[in-house]
Amino acid sequence: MNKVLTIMWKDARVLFGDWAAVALIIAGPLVLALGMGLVTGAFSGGDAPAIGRIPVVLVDEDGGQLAAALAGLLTGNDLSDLLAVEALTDPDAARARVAAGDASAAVLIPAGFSDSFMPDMATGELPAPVAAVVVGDPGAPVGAAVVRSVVDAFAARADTAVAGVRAGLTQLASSGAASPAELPALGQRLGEALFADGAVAATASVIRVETRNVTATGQPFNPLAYFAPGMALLFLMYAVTLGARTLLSERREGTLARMLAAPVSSAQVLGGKVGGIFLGGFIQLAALILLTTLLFRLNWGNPLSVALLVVAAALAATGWGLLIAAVAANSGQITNMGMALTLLFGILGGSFVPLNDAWPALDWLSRITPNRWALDGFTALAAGDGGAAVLVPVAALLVMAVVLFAAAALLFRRRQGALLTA
Amino acid sequence: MNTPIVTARNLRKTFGDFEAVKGISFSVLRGEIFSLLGPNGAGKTTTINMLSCLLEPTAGTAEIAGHAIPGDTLGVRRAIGVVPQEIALYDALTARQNLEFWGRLYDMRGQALARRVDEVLEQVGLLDRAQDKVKTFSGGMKRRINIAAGLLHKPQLLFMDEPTVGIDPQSRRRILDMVKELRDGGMTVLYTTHYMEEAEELSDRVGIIDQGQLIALGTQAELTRVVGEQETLRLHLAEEAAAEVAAVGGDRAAASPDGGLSLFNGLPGVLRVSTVDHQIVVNVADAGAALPGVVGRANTLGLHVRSVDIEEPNLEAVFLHLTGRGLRN
Repeated sequence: MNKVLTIMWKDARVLFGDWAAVALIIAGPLVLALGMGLVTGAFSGGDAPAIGRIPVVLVDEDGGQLAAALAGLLTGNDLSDLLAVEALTDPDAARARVAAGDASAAVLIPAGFSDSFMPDMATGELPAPVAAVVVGDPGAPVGAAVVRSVVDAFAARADTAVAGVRAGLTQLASSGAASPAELPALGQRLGEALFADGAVAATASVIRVETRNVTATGQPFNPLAYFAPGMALLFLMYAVTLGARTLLSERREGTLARMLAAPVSSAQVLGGKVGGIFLGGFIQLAALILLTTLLFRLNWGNPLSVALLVVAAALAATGWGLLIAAVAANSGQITNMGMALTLLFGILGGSFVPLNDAWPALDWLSRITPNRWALDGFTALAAGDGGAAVLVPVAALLVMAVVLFAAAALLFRRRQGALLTA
Repeated sequence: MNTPIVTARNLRKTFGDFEAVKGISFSVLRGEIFSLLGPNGAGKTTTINMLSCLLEPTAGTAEIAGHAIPGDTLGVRRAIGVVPQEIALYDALTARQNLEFWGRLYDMRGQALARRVDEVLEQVGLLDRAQDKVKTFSGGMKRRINIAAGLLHKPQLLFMDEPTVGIDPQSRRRILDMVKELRDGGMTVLYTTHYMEEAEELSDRVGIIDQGQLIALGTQAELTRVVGEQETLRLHLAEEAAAEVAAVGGDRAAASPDGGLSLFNGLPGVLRVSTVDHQIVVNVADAGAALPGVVGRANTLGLHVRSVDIEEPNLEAVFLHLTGRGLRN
């Protein structure tokens, strides 16, 4: 065992003695996490950065009651935490603001909007529809979508109300309670009553904004709690690739033969090399956790659970590193395959973007990556969930490690004559 | 000193269809420097690798310090030190860190290891560079640390596989002196080289190996008796002449039946001719008698001879006599 530990420790020393490698696997994810944190406002003060209000411009060219109701909805108290609405008079100016990125969306209420919901006094027929227009900024798809959904909900409510009025008038006519001549005036008065100022609240009440914490303990959400582990796990694959490369580079440089000429078994050499790969990944993750805790005051959660997750993630990543080393013909191939897997696992596993609304196939595929399982665990712990939250991720990572170790061992055994001997 | 510490019996090694070592048998006596001399590709490293337990022999056996190959490879590896042809060190670690690592693989620990590391660093003249990373060392210095790593555990037998390849003459001198000091201190050294001068300077006994076979073995005096009283004329040519001779040397039609060059066929006393670098090497029965004819023939052929050396029988001549080729062809 001593010799296995000796080889492990030597490998970790060689890895972390290379300042370029250290800069990449420690400073790289730290800087990226810092950048992600700045972009998401994680450093804006407090633990819970507020979701910013969506800037909207509004142009009411109609001036009617329905238009006023829609304007009142957008500028009212119910949506004041969500929308920051500015009224303009010129539709072109409003479009320009959206095009310049100064507003996420423009709501343009053209003339005739309100009247389009009122039946003609003489004929009782509804005029041609005049719709409110929502102009969205493609660069702010979320904000534009929110505004569009508010306007759509209003329009749907208005349509429902008009349908109700028409149904009511039809009932009055068929029951004889009103004569055909009285219907237009009745419809006008019903419409005015429905969309009068006093009814705006009722109309607006279909649209409310509610804020809920989804975590069990109600801890505020910190984006850095996602991106710090995301970046750490992204670079974990790179760290184990560096370690795996030494399996072949030591053979090329003669140090492997020298080890085997010493009173050391090939099992001890292989154990030491595998342990070295694991140790490199473990130290890298642990260092990042420590640094983000000290520098960014990030709370990773229960320390024991975090440590367990780090060990499991490092083991799973080591398994992937070994598999790469087992199939690659030379250390150059290991580097290339390692880089490809680093990026692929980062994308699939959610290191860059959360996979909340991923396609089912993508969600399934992400589960072959250590990134996905470890991220699930780390984010749960950071949100204040207990140790039980990491049981499934840890188990999945350990199973992944066992399967990959077995596959690599089988492949190495076939190549042992070429790999472990001169 | 007369008891063998290494006994190799009919060692063979085959890689697929290629037989790299074709049944080598020899002994190395305790306290001697035994050199395996041969050109590149002769099978020296393969033989060393079998004796170091890095390669399993296809056939044959060996015994090292009482431990059998195959069989007790762990015992063999405890008894031997290996200085490989490659500089098998970790550039990212310091000299001391490298030696401590290798020492731990030989079950050395603590203060004993620290003291021994200092001793070997002193022995190779690099104690003052102990804390420097190996990547900052020159080639010669790396070779010396490479040797130091093989000496850490005070082995009974040291295998040195071409330890002076690619280094400057000063470092090479230092290493050769170190090898002699080791032998004088009681260590047995199995040394492989393709440099005749090294084998001649260092060795108590020499085994000449070529194309996987041991073609001669003995002390230098015993080996040179193979060529009898033959002497060697070494003609140093101008560069332009050397190119012509090299072309002729590759022309089978111009070769003698025994594989040597036909340039001096018919001259009295000329036994064998070959080329090495910018030189024509002529084996003659009597240098004084053969010299005028050889130089005259060279001038007739338009080969501008810049100088001639007359050499007593040496290992190069033995190799030439036995194989028809120079050591560095």
